[in-house]
Parts: sequence; C-alpha cells; structure tokens
Amino acid sequence: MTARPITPKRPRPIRVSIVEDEAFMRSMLVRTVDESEDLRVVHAVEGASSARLAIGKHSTDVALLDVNLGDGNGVALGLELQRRDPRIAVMLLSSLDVMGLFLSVQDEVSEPWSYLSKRSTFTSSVLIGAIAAAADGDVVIDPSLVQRSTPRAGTEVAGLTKAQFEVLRLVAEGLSNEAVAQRLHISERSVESHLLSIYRRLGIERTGTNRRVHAVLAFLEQTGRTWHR
Amino acid sequence: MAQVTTLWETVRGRWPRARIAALVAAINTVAFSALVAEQATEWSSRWETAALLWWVGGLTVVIGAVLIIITIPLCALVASWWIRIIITLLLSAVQSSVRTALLLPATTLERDTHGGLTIWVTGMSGYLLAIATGFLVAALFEREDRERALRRDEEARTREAVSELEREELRVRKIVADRLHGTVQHRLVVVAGGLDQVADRLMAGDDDPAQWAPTLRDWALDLDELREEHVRSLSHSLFPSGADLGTYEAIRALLDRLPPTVATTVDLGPTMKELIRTLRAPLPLQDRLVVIYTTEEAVTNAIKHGGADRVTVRVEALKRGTEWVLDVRIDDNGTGPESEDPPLSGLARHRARAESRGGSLRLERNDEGGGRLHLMLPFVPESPRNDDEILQKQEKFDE
Repeated sequence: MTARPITPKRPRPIRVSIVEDEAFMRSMLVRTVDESEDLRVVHAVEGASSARLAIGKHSTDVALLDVNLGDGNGVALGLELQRRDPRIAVMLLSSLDVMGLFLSVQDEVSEPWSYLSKRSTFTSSVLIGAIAAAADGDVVIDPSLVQRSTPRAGTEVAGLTKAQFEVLRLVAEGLSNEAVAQRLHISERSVESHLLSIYRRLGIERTGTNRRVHAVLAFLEQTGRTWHR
Repeated sequence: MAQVTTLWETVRGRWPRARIAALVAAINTVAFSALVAEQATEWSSRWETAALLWWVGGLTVVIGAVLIIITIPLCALVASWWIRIIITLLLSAVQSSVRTALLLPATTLERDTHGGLTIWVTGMSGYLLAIATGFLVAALFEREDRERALRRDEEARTREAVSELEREELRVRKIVADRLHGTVQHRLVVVAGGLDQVADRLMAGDDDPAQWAPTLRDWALDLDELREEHVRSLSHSLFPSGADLGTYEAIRALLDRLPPTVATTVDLGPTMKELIRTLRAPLPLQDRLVVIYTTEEAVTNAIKHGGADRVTVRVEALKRGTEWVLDVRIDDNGTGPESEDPPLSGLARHRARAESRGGSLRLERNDEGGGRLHLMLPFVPESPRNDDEILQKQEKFDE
C-alpha cells in the first residue's frame, strides 16, 4: 500500500491505543507509532480487561486491537469501545485472515473499521499511513489481502468489468483517485467515471454517507481469498 | 389378536401401579371393616355381640375385597381418570347396596326410618375412601418412578455426551498432532535448512546477496501459506474462529474461507435476529460449537462430494412451549443425497452430538434437488453479557 501522508494541519498528534497480548509485538507497535511525530501512544495494554479499564471516553482517536487476545476477543472489545465512544476509529490486527469476522460486525459499528495483517505492521510506512487514514475516517484494508481477493461467484462484484474491478481493488487498498489513475495509467476522470459505474452496479445510492466506504465493504463482502500457491 | 396383545401389554404396563393401589385399598378396607364392626356393637341388634362383630366385619371385608378385585383391574384397562371415577362410583354403589341388604336384617333399624340409607352411605364412603386412597398412593409412586426414569435418562444422556466429548477430543488431538508432526514441521524444517544454507553462503562471501532475494521472498510466501492454511486449520480444529463472538459471526467466518467459486449466503430469521439484537450471542458456547462444526461438515460435503457451487445457511430460533429450538438449514445446489435421510458417514458423529443434546440432524433433498442438512437443537438462551455493566462502571470512573 502506498503510505498516505498525514494531514499537515492536524492540531494535535493522533492518540493511539494499542491492545496486543504478545509483548514483542506490542513493543514493536509502540516503537513504530511513537517514532512518528504525528502519532502518540496513549495506552499500550496486553488484554481486553485491562483495555476496558484503561481506554476512557475521548482519550483515544485510533484503537489498534489484536483479534485474539489472551482474555477475550478484539472484535468484541472494539464493539464495546465504540459503544462507549462512537468516534474511536478501530483497526483490527490479526496474524490470520479473519475478514469474515471483520465483516460480520460491520452492521453494528458506528464507524467502519480498518483491518491490517500483523505482517504488514512490520513496514512502518504502512502502519503509520493506515493509522492516519483511519483517524481521518477512511477504511483501510490490508493490501496483501486485497491483492489476493477475487470476486465470489453469484455476487454483484462478479458482474463488474475487469477494469472496474481493478479500480475497486485499488480503492479498497486505500489509494486516492489520483493514485489509482497513476497505477492504472488512466486519467483521473476515467477513475471517477469507473467509480460512478461501480456505485450504480453495486446499488450504492447517491444519498449514502460515504459511497467509497460502502464500495470497499461491498468489495470485501463479495470477494474471497485463497492462500494456496 | 393384535388388539388383545396390546390390551394385555397395557394391563401389564399398569400392573405395578394397580398392585400398589389394590394393596393400599385392601388395607384401608380391613381398617374400615374393623371400625364398622366395632361400631356395630353400639347398634340395637337382634343378634349376639360376637356374632354381630363377625358378621358386620367379615361381610364388609368380603364385599370390599370383591369390589377391589373387580374395580382395580377394570381401571387398569382404561387411561381416562373420568372413566375410572365413574367405574369406581358405580361398583361401590352396587357393593354398598349388597352390603346394606345383607346387614339391615341384623339390626333393629327400620327401612322406613332411613336405616338402610345410613348403612349404604357408610359403606359407600368407606369403600370410596379406601379405593381413592389406593389410587392416590399408586399415582404418587408412579410419579416418583417417572421422575426417577427421567433422571436416569438424563444421566445416560450426560454420560453419552461426556464420552462423545472425550472421543471428539481424542480425534482432534490426533488430527492436530499428525499435522504438526507432518506438514507443518516438514515445511518449517525446509525453510530453516534453506535459511541456514543462505547464511553460510553469504558469510563465505561467495554469492551476491541480491541473488537470494527471490528465494527468500518465495520462502516468505511459503510461510504465509503455512500460516493461513495449515496453522489456521489446526487452530480451527481446536476452536473455530469467531465462536467466542457468536453463531452468526463464526458461520460468516467459515463461509468467507470457502473458495471464491462458491456463492455463499447466511440468512438469519426474524426471531433469531431479535434474539441477537437483545442478547448479542444467545446460543451457549457448547451449542454454538455443535452448530459451527456441523455447518462446516455440511458445507465441505456439499462442495467436495456434491459438487455444489452455491451454499445457503438459514438460521432461525423457534419457541416451543417454554423451550427454544435452533433451526439450521444448510442448502446447496449439488447432487444431493440419493435417498431421503440416508445413513450418515462423516455426519454421523455430528448427529450423535446433536442427539446427545436433545436435538436432531437429518440429511434430505431440497426443492432444487440439492442437499439440505437440517439441524434442530434445543437451547437455553444466555443472558446478556455484563459488558454493559462494565461500561457503566467505566463511565462512572471516567466522570
């Protein structure tokens, strides 16, 4: 994924809470996040119960939650934290592809979540860019998962043209229209035109709050991934 | 002949209870006879006291015994309590009349001064009380027996469930151990050996480090596959992904892992949706695991053996009296079973598990000709978790 530049006029650093039960992984995440001047780790805890106590209302902008915690599940914890503070952006971290789990709770969340593979967090530009995008209200999905995705039979995404599917795949990776145009060697207007066709074919209405986010969720819901080589 | 056999079996089935009823009724009749014999001495009698005692007591016992011998077996033949009451009333009335007719001459009571009615009412009350008490005691014994049988059944089911769990645990342990010692260990050994070789050659300074980049990338991809396919599968065997969140979440996670060539749908019925809305994860974890593993087996069979490329899972909760039953139907568009409810192979252990929990599992053909696995599982909805209480406490703490 192309690292997303952090918004320059941010009044204060993005406050990040990290919930990860593996000590090595937790310290690596803390170190990477704290290296960025625009991010600040406010809590780094090892489990769901300590996170419930530590992460108070309005204390966190982005919560990085491991899916498998020693004393609970990061998905359930994310739901709880967002019920308490709907403005928290939740980013799930997992060493295994748990996209099905991620998607199963999307109807319940106040703000769409993001999802990164733990492997991707070792690249600091990916992690920092993803946190910044999530803080800005975007959905960020792990690029390695997106690249492996192919349309599931019988879905609306399977009915997209090859060009439309490529555009949607890059949007799901978190690229801007300009970056998509550069990657596919087409004009930005063509990207916009493709996106309008995609919204229409996926039945995403103009009145929707964020059609781009809905399109990404539809992409994830209607594709499958295989890890066989 | 068949009717006679059935009748005989019915009587034989009710005989233990009838025997208790007869015994209690007989004891009561003897007591009643002794009481009326003693009271007879207070009558103005035409007879000697001793003769009167034996006549009244003996006659009451004999008539009562005949009444019991006729009434109890007759009542054992019918199931309706109303008919039993009518039989008892009629026969008691007849026997009381006989008793009255035989006793009245021994007394100085006159027929026109209601003397006969007094003797009849006394006899009727005594016999009715004796037989009713017999029936009551027998009914109490029967209830006790029924509850004991229910407890025995429950214990047998629990024993069966425990041994099923033990068998399942052993099976999963064996699978996990085999795969850890097989595929996983082998792949790790290969990658570790390769890394050693690269390190040796780089240290010797023989090779350009850049030339190893594609090989290292290839090994990284190999490890990715090992993690996503094998480690995940092992982890799933021990505990399915999403099972701790809820049935719907775990089924979604399960279907998401199917190859993209398979179209998948999960439909929740309106009652199930409402239960999830109020209780979040209404199904207890043990029942959830039964549903998830059964769904997985059904889906795998549909794709592997039935050649299906479309799978739909429908989940609904039904209320039957005070009991909740989960109704899960897994439909596919594959070849379906050759006959209705065929003998199960891989699904047999899932059926055993469902039955040990009071449920059922049936494989049938759906309207499209594909397969349908129908799981019915009774469950007791779990109360909402105390997350909200925790949050409320936290909010107070924040303030």
